[in-house]
Amino acid sequence: MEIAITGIGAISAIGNDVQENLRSLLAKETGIGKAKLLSSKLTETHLFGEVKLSNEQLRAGLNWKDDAVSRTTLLSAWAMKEAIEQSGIVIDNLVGLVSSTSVGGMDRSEGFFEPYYTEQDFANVFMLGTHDCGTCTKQAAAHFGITAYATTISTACSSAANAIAMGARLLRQGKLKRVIVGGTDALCRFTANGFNSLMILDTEWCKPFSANRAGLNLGEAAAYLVLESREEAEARGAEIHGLVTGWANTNDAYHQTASSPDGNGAFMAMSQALEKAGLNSSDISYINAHGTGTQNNDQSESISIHRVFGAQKPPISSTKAYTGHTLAAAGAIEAIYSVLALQENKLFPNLNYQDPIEDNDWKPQLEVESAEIKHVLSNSFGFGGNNSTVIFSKA
Amino acid sequence: MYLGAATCISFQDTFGNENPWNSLVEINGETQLVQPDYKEFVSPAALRRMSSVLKMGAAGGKLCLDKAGLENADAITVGTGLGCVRDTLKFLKAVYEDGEGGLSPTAFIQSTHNSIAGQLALMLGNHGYNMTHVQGGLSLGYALSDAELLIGEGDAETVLVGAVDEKTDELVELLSELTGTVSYKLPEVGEGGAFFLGSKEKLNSSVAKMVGLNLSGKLEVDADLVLSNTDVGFNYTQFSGEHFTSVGFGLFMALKAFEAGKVDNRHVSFDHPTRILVHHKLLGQEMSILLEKL
Repeated sequence: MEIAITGIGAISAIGNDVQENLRSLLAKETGIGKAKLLSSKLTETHLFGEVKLSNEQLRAGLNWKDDAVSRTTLLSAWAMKEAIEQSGIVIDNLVGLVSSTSVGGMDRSEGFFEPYYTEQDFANVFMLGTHDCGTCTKQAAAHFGITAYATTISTACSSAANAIAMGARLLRQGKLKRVIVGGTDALCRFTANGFNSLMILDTEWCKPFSANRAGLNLGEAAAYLVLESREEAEARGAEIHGLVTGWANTNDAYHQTASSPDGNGAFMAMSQALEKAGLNSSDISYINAHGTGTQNNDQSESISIHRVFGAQKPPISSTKAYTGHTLAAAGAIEAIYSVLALQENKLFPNLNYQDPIEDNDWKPQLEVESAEIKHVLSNSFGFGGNNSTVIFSKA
Repeated sequence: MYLGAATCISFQDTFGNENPWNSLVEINGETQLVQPDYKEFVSPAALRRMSSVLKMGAAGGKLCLDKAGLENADAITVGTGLGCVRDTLKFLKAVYEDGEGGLSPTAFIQSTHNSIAGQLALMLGNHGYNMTHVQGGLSLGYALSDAELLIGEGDAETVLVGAVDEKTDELVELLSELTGTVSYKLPEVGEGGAFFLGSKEKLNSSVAKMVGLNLSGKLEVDADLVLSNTDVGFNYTQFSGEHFTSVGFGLFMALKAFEAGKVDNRHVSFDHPTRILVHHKLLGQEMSILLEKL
């Protein structure tokens, strides 16, 4: 069974819908800057890839009545709405949702935790009602009337890639007819401070794959894809934006947070995804790398790419210098960019690059460029040793 | 999917106990987890850093593989409702008390939901598929569904499936305050970790076949025994306490019921059940698993 993508939706620091994201990608305009909405001391010292819409604007645009909702859920519903509308699918009991998030409703929970931890004040405890990741998915599913299947994957920064793969598997196994897959994460103090405590945040714009890279910028986003079998899509005359042809999920089993020096997990993820797709490494037209801008990731990912592709590497770029690292949403937002690369026949640049990493025999793609794009390989790696790769192909 | 080898850490004497049905003791607010000697599974250095969920994951996962006679599984899928609560709250507290500066990353690193499955992969040297589902009371259900899909796809023959949640005093206090705002009676909060070896083929350790998995309601079927967190059957939460993955305890007890055959004590009585329904309903999410004895 071929897995067709019939709808895409995205909201990130570089745009409130897919077309705005594309426009920014082509204009080389980053969305990373001073945060205006995030409440954290770190906004004074650090840059963030913040979505420009406030919770009130998101709620109004979605006609979301209930106050008890986190930004994570609102972002997710926003992007899902675009994907569903574009696909033209009708939600019935054969449509499922595989979403993902790393922090769930933490942004709203912090409205409770601040007075609680500073003044032992329980007044906002009701805000914890939307705390757990499952509630985010449950609320988004309910908003669109999805009842058949709705789960939340939380494998840190590889989450959304795993959601896409699981969606494909659900279709191939005939469990669902259509499935909405993707991920969401809102900025919050918890993650900002978490990554800061690990000392892997750059205080300037992140510089993926650059020798002088100094860490990542955190971002927020949500992105979703509507998947169905090619047969189903064609039968209802739906436009097919691309195919999901390969996927793999492996574990580096090296360290709780760091990637192995030989990039073993990533090497296995890319190799197994190619095998699943029935492709050779030379078939890949573009790699949308995980490329966070941290010393460890970019070094390890470079080595693993070299192990898979050898001297013949296709153009490679990380788009995280546009959006920031959007954690559980990263694999989904980058899936959308991969589909756009296929549709537009464009390579998207790796912003802020300065000097090559020693030992790398390649430089990332630095300019927007037209090219015949047939297959895009997208990497998403996370804490816990989680390494995932998804391959998107022209329909 | 076949199920057989299973482990459970709970308020009962379940870990490594082949017939826990005859040693059930009702719990109360003071009941503590019956914990194994974790040093048998994890190095003392690693143990010091580990929260309860991580310990339960490490010991439960390892012993489950041992019981199945396997060195490793092709894949690991874990369901957890709240994940690493202790480390999440610990890090949050530090964020607010220390004014967002000079924080130690340890609690943050161990706060991600996937650290249970990730830690297990690290310990076992398992490079296979590694997944974490976080879907309230359905978390274990989706981890089982994922395992079934993997097996169906031919991507795995054996899958280690886990269900883990921890409680802390602070969590119980927060839940109690939260449920108080909506006049919901908070059940006795439990915690625990259960692991199951799911396989494509029937193994020597296989006990039952999962013949039904409904992630959006109750299965209307005949069963010899119904284990539930509600009163539609034998209510296991009087022994496990309630939490998002308490159904892991229910599933474990179901497998042990097949093995025990006949049990007749002051809590329960059954005689060689061949079909068991495991049911869980919490906060509007309802699931059921139907098992058939091999």
